Amino acid sequence: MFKKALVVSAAVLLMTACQTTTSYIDAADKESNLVAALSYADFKSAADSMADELVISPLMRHPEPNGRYILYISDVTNDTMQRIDTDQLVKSMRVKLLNSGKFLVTTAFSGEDSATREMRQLKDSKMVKQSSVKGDNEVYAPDFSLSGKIMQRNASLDNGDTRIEYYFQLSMTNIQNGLAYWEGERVVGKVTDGDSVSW
Amino acid sequence: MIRALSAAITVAMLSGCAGIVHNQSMEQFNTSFNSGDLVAASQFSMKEAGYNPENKSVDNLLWGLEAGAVLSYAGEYEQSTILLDASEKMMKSEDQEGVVNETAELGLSMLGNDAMMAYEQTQYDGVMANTIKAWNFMFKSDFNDARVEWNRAEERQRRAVEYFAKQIKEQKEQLDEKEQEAAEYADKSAQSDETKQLLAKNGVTLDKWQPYDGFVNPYTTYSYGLNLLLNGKSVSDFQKASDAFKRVYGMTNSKWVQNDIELALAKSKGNSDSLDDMVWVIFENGQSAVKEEFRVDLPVFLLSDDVSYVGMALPRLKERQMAHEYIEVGGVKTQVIADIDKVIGAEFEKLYPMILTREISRTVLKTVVQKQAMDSNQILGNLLAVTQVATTNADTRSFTSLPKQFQTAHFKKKDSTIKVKAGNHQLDVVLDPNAKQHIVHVKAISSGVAPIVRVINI
Repeated sequence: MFKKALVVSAAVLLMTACQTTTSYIDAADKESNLVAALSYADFKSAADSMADELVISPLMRHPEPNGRYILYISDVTNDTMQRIDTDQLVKSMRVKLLNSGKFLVTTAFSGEDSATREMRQLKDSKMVKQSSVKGDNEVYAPDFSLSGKIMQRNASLDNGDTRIEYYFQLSMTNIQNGLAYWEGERVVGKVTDGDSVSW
Repeated sequence: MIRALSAAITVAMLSGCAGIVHNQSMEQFNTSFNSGDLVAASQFSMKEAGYNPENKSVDNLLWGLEAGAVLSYAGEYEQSTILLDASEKMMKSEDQEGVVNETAELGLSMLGNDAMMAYEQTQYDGVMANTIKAWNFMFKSDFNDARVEWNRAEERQRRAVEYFAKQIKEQKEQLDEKEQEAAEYADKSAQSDETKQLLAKNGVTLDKWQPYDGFVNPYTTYSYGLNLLLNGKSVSDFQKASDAFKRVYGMTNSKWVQNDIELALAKSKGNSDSLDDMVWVIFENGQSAVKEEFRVDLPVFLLSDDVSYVGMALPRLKERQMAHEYIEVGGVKTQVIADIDKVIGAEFEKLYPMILTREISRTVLKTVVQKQAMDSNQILGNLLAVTQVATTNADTRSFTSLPKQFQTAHFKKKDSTIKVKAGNHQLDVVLDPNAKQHIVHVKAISSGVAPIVRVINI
């Protein structure tokens, strides 16, 4: 009887020891809890360094002393093997660019926030104080468009592991002349077990 | 002794059951599928897959794949993707299964048969799972997620070449380590001319199906290229499309694919009008080859140089019918771009020597144990002989709801209603007049069943 109890308690102990208890982690930490897929740490680091580069780029300096360029966020293609939302990259950049005080981002044209268009329809509403309704000829058109791609390339190493490279590639195009005024690329490399696929 | 006996009988019951239960389920599934009752076929396969809607998981990989495919044919795209995602998770666990587990599984199966082992996906299973998912997203006009699945399918194709080299080496090593002496005799049996002749007489081919270059499934590569051609955003996308079409043209010589290359090159040079009003046709034709069991007496060496003829059960491929030689859509005829029987056959033949050696080793082991038992106790010997007969089954499991071929064609539409002619079936298909390009996807299971037509307007 005693023996049986001992075995059961040992088994329970082992099982409990194997369970992972939920805990907070630093999502930007690149040293622990690593995954083969793209994580917040990868997006954050690429977005931060590319935003820093944009802020100090001489071609992206507005000629007016307090002037700010207006950015339109165009398409960032997900060309990886992961079902990711490319906003994970772009959002971090937007936050940083806005906070720099040198850029503004328009949300009026991409369907991101339809309120700019919809709230103008209030001009026919009896309920709304008409002097507060935003009028025509007030919405700003963008100066630059941000577009790009996140790519993934996998290759097998001699030891059977898989080397994964993620490329974050972005371009800032001047809408007036169609020329790219800034381009940035960051590459994240990872090695993972090659027994199975990387997603 | 009694313990050994009960163990042997348990294994016999388990292994006998494994094959029989699967075959019975397959028969029931085929009854619905072959008659075009996709609702019944998908419900049945989801049940067999052990689909758990709460955590979106399956506990049977093969049925998960069947369910995913049939749900897609039935137009249940989201559900299909969930089932195929769950199946991919099982594939990953199977890939990452530790050596200890694998060896234990193989060891246990040596007392029974291959059908006792957990189903291990073929390379084309994985590629087709991603391909079907990609099309699911295409049908929902979610071209971004479709692109992810095409990338995954292409990655699986890249891994396939390495897989074949590695897998064959590994499994051979496993057998060698397990029973050095038995493996040596089994190899001798497997490689003898007589064995080869007997297998050939029973319809087993070892070099009939030459793989497509690089073990590529041209349908996947073609679809990958087509998505880039129609939904690509940059010059590099159109160049990738043209490269994909070039690979497929190299394997098929299809005039339609040759023309696709030109269209992709025109797009890469900035000719944006070249695809206006174009309609592509994808035709899934008939049913792919499946495995069936046959029994044969093969010469084996029972751990000596004396030959005995012992009965064993082995799988062989059975081809099934195409539905139509071609179909006609908008006045043009489709041409073959991928022979899935060739894809299945090439992989099966590549792995066949391993299946054969394993079956011969197993037969030697069972026969020797039974003979030794007979020498010491006749009742036990007879019981083991019965057990041996009961456990002799071939593993005939495979992903069966795939078509035999894929075909394509394309044309410029003249108006928004086009005619699809498939044998005796004629259908009018309405295209969205506001869309610039269209894909008309036609699936015909057999000549007697009306084809399923789906349209993607881009």
